[in-house]
Amino acid sequence: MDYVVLVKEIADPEGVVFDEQGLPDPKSRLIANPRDLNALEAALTLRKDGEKVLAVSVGYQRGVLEEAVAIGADHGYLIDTDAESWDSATASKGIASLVKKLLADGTVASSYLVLAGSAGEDYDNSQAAIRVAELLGIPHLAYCETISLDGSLTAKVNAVGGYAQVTSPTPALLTVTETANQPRYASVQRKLKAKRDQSFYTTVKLDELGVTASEKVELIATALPKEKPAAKVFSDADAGKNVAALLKAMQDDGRPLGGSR
Amino acid sequence: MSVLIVAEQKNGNPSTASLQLAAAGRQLADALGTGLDGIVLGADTLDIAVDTLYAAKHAELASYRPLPYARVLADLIGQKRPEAVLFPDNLRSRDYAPRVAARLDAELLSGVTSVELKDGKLCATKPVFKEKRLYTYAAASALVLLKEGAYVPLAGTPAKVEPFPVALEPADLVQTVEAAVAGSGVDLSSAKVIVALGGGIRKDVERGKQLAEELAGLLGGAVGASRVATDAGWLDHTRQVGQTGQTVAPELYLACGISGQMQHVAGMRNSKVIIAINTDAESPITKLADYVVVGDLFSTLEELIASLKR
Repeated sequence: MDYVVLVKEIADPEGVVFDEQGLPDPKSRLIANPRDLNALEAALTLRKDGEKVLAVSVGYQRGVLEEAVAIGADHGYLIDTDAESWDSATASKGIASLVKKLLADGTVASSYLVLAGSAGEDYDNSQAAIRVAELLGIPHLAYCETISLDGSLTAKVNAVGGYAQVTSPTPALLTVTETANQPRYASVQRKLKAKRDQSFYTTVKLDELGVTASEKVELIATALPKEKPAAKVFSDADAGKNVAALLKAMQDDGRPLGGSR
Repeated sequence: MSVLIVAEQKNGNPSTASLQLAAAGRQLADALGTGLDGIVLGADTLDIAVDTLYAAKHAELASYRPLPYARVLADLIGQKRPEAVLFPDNLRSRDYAPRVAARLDAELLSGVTSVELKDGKLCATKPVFKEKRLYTYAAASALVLLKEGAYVPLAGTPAKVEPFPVALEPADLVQTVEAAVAGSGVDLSSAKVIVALGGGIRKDVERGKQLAEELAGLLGGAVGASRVATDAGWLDHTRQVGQTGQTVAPELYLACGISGQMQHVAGMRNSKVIIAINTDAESPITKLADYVVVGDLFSTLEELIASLKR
């Protein structure tokens, strides 16, 4: 079994700086999408001796691939898009086309899994990975918490109202949640090696994969979210007084606790 | 030209999110000057206010699996080519809708809080970068996952119900999905009031649960939980509110001993009124709350119960 892990570089949602138009400033700190590191961890945990873990990213620089290699991926593939913007549909076409190529030339074994984080923490599109599954014609398992490859592929997944147990044939694509595992750290030596050693990386242009960056969706406006008025705070040491004050405030605001009673 | 909503049913009733889709869908359809159609999977009808309801009933659709769902929806959308298809935004739609979009080479916008027609284009607004900005996207047509709580539910019945032929391929049936957790089966999404418990009940879990049940009972609501409380095994997983649990938007949400991690907030931020009871006046939940009670949650719940009984 070989593993293809999709990793995305994003502006850190905690520290992102926006320009005047409300777009993320290129100077914002860039990080690996956190859940993609959970996906990488899952692949590294499942991998047995002799099996490959390959990282794939769509973008214009390979920082996130260096991180993946430093953590333990065997190779990083950058799908290079010159276009200023590209959407999930375009990214998924590029990724699917690359995976098909790697399958055809034997780089990836015919028995394989694709893994990715369950959503990007930047735009919360949560769709590129599952689009890839459709384009590759393989089943997918979303929101995996635990993954087992004993005999068949089974996973405990988050589902509406709790968890579900999914059994699936392989090859398959899995999306992994942020609580599935604790991603390992890279050693300093491995980080240096990942930075210096060019042989870890392959860059493929999006158009070489037969995909044209298209954007059928256009960003037309950005805005700040409406600020919520500050909360009314009750911090008396006496719980009875707190609750009485809370109930009075709710009454005064026209939304009494327990409705009209 | 038309607008289509993908309605969810549970035990034969439409989910609250589906009634909100009916409201949003009708507004869009009126703006476009077209009809509003709907589809329900695994049922032969549903009380939902659309012009034509396509009912896809089939033994293989009785319980949820992504591949059969994707097949039926891609077939219908591919045939009818609606300008806009609205889905409820939840773990389930985020599982099957990207596959539908890829099969149709369609655009998909998830996490959308409002959708409208502007200059003949479909415009959808959604929060990005953990709610730091709102982005509005325009497209000629798209699949839209609409977050719960953004529209006032519209009740009604379909003017016409048409069976939709289900044609599944062997490849659609390769997976098995079993609900792994025998749960309380509580559908929090329809509760008007939710009393939610978090890590703060650690000191006395049983007492915390008992107080929450009693308060919820007095308010005609249900008990929910944060991931901390469900992962600790204090409350059933089916009661979990959050990104990986249920998304709710009740009239009143009481967050008791819940710090307000992003993962939890994502599931309850659209609640109309939020009361946070927490010992930490600086915890993230207080930024979102309308009312904050700083103090011991057990005695605060006791006082609330006592005052409601008075």
